[in-house]
Amino acid sequence: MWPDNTQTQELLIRARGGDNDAVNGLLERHRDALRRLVDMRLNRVLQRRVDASDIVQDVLVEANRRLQDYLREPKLPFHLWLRQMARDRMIDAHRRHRGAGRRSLDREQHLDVPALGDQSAVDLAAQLYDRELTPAAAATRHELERRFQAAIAQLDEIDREVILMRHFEQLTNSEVAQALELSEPAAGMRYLRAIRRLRTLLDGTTFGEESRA
Amino acid sequence: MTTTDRDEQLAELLTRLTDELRQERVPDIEQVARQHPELASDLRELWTACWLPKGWVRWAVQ
Repeated sequence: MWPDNTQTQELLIRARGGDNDAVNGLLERHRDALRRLVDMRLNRVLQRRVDASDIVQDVLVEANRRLQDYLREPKLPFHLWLRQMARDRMIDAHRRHRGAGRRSLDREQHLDVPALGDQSAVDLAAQLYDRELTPAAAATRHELERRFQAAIAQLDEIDREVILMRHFEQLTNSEVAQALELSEPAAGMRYLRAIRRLRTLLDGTTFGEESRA
Repeated sequence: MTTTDRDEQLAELLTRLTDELRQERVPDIEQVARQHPELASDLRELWTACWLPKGWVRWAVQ
């Protein structure tokens, strides 16, 4: 999901040297990944009130403003630094709308639940396979996606978070550990717990037998 | 082996295998299961959920 790290490192070196084109390139090449992240994480209710592209733009403006501090002391890989800002912005947006006395967003959908029926997670998955599908296979795929999303939606927040980070954001265990401020073994254990719960939920849908039929 | 030891080892294996998936490699789950017979059953069972998000469609098409 995130752009190639080698190129990012090259741009960071040039940005450190004062190259403004590199700064622009660095931010722009992360725009699409940030947009996918926000689309995936922003709940459907909030999506009607907050423009995802505005959040992405705010993150990029903030990143540009704070870039020199980051370059002096990068505590996180660049994409995780952007990710953290995006996450903070989404939490702020959630609080702002709840604080304004509007009807409870919590009752409708949790912040991190991928919207069922919303193709965001599906779009990401679609990048990973051959696009030439027969209509029957496409129908099966749709059903699999629906079941998977339903299972994901039933996970608690902690489990869902780690599954999304590993499987949709394609972060390594090491990156998950950094983003969550855990040791790598602890991040691995959290992933194990989440996968166990996901497996149990998928079992409940008799996923394997039907999809192989 | 205690449950904690077992879980830690399982977590380590799953982490390694899913990191391989991320690098567009297809891990040989059966080989890993043979190397860790005490974890083989859990590993096979959990693996279906591990690679599902990335591999679901390929599986459906087969």
